[in-house]
Amino acid sequence: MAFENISAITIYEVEELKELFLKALDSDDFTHFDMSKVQRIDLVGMQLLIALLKSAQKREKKIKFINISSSLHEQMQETLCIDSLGEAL
Amino acid sequence: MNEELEIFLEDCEDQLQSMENALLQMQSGVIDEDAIGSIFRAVHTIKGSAGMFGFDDIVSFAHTGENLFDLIRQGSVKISPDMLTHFLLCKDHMEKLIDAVVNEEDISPQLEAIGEKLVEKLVTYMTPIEEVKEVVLNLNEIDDTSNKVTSLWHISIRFSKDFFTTGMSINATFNFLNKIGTIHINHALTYAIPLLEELLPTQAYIGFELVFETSSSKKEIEEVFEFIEDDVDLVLFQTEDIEAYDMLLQKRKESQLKDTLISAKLALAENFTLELQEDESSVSSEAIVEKEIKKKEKKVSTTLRVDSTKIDVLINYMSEIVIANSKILSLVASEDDKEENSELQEAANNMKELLEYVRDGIMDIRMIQVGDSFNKFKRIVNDTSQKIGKDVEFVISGEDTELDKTVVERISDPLVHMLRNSIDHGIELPAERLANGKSAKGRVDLRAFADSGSIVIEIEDDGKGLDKTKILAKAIENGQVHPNANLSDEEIFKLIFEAGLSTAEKVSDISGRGVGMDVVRRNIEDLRGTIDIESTLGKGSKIIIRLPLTLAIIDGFLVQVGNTKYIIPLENIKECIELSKTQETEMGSNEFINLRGEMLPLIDVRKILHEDKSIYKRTNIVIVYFGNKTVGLIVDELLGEYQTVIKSLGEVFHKISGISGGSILGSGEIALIFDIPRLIELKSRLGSDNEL
Amino acid sequence: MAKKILIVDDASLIRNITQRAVEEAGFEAVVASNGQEGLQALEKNEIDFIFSDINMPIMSGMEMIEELRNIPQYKYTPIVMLTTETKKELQAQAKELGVKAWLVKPFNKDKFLLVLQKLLG
Repeated sequence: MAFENISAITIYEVEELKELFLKALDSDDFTHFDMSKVQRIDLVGMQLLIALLKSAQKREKKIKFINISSSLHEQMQETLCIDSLGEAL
Repeated sequence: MNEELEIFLEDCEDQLQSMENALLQMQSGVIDEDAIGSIFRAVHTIKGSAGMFGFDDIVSFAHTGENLFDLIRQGSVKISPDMLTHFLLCKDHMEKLIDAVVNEEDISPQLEAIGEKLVEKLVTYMTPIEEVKEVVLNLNEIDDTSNKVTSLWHISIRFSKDFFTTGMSINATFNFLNKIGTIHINHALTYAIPLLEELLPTQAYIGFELVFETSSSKKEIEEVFEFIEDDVDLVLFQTEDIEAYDMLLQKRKESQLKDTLISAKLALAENFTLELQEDESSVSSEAIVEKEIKKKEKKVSTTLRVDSTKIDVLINYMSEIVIANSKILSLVASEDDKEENSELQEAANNMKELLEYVRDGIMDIRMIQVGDSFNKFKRIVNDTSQKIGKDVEFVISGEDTELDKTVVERISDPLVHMLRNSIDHGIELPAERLANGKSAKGRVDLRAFADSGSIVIEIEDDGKGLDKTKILAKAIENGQVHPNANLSDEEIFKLIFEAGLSTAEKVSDISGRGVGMDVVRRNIEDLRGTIDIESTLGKGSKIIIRLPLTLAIIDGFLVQVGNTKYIIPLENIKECIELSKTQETEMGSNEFINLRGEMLPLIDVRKILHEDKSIYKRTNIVIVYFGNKTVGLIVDELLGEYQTVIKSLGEVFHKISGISGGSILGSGEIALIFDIPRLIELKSRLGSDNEL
Repeated sequence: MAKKILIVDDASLIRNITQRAVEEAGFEAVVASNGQEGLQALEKNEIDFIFSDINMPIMSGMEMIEELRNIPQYKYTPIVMLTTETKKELQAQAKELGVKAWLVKPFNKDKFLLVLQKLLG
């Protein structure tokens, strides 16, 4: 899924994104998350992604985060919890 | 040495050993990823644990080695034989550094100088680019540490639920910490993040655990958090404060914290002594619960480190219990009214059986596999053979054979000596071997296996074997053997275990001149073991060592001779017979009888140990054996099986070589324990029942 | 892009010290002398971090913060109160608005530089 209008996953967006992801989890199409449009992420956003993966795992679903820009990857690393995204990267 | 240091030392020894094994394996030509990986891990682990203790000398030395092996792992540096030899030296140096810090000694200037040279050379193995980096890095380290004393801190961070809504950034705090020191490890904890369904998106679930090195004070570190102190739950302690780790667990009440800390190298497993009370609320999803259960199941079979003195104390008590129980058993047995006491008797026998289980269980704790100890010899064999220009293949088998820890420790030095002997005197030089139609490479086998209640260790070489005429000539020359004595091959070979006997034409600094083999024999006899040797001239030699499984308790057979009770180890007894009148007359003054067509040499215990004339009418013979030799002991009365604890006898009994120890019986009487191997040896050597 | 830091204080000495420190630390400084000016600055600029006095003419720091928290963009912007007093009620009120950091005046430039480092890395 592309989630066209997600440009940031930060504290300002997480509440909205939670609902969006929850809906997406019920869809069979949600096997990957195209992050090419995402420019910013913070620690709160990382928490959201980790929670998303935990829920996906519970549903025996695998989600991959793809097309992560190098700048976004750097931001993810800065949060120190990039390892928790594990195989999703 | 405190407990933590001991654990540190033990860990390091393990790591150094696996490093050495891998290096030797590579030296023998088998270079694979496993070996490289295990060296890297070993150096890395040592560096890590040394860091926890603040042993900077070790950390910085290991650091260079770690970098080199990291490059090798990545494939950017190739291994050379020269490098392996150098790395063995580095391993030795690291061992010395560890010894020094563990013994709380300062690193001597000499040692420091050696370290510098080793590092210099290590650096030359790296590619030029890395080299430059390395130098810069080292300079920085020196700058940092030269004027200030730093210490290692553990920082544990949790946030209030609304921390993120304040907009404050924890990364700013980390950056600032890096300005006043160095964050070595910073591990984000994500296990508290719930499923998406349960997530309150702006709430903070995350936590951080850090190892931070700084010269700043605790107050200064706390002040870094001054603007976020309301929202940060901070636990701060020095990593050397071992008790604080338990307190951290108790405060955090997070079921996964302990394992996470250990796996992220933020703490050693040994830092934790308490089991955490599970806090249900922290477990937020079924998956985690399942994981926890699995982890718990795993824990059941994990090992537990126990101070060996604790086990020794247990064994001591166990010994006393065995004695006390023997007393109960003998009281029960002596009750006149057997009928009425049958229940008591049954209970007492039951108790005896249970005690045997407990005893065996405790003894089993002390049993360790000989493999670790044996693997250490690889290096010695390697070094020795290289030094004297011999090519030796060293083959170990039976590594999983178990033996009492004390025995393993005490057998180590004698084995080293014998291995050196085999290489030095046994294995020939490659040219000589080729000339004799052998392969250039010699072979030394070290084997261990269990055999009827004892453990056998063999050292076999395919070298030149022992020259019995030379040995005999030397022994006669030394006056150790009468010129007319008629000795069997085996007896002649055994002479090499006598003091002052070495037939080596050239004395080398490896095994010296006969000094040692007599010490070796004594060491093994002290362990109630025996040593034998088989050899064929030109083909090789085999040394066979037999050791008892354990040292503390033996199953014995109680006999009476004159006024004294003696115990014969059950494992040496073949059978007991009553000496019939006919046999007695037949025997006359000879020291043997004819038993079912075989000649049985006899030892009259009464005579050799100056016992009073017997008041008993019957005479019994206990037929004992050891190895392939059998002897009959003439005793008065057979009193039955007896489990007994060996107590060492004082100086007074020291010279009586047929006696290995004493024991206190249930009745409080003292019994002496026969040293059967020794007794048999004396009998065959002296050929007559001289006084012991 | 350098972070933009808004400083709101009616005392020119404080504005001067903080502005120089902020610039020295490599950030961009935006200054205002009361709450109203502050809100205007917030409108014109994308502010990343706010230091604000409490007692100011025209509009107090508390009033300004109440207002700015209603602007979605500044809902979670970090704020440090610059103050000479640390009254309990004031702190409680600030907490409600997501402000928990307090910097007590007076301070010199060096001290403020250190504060910036702690807060902004």
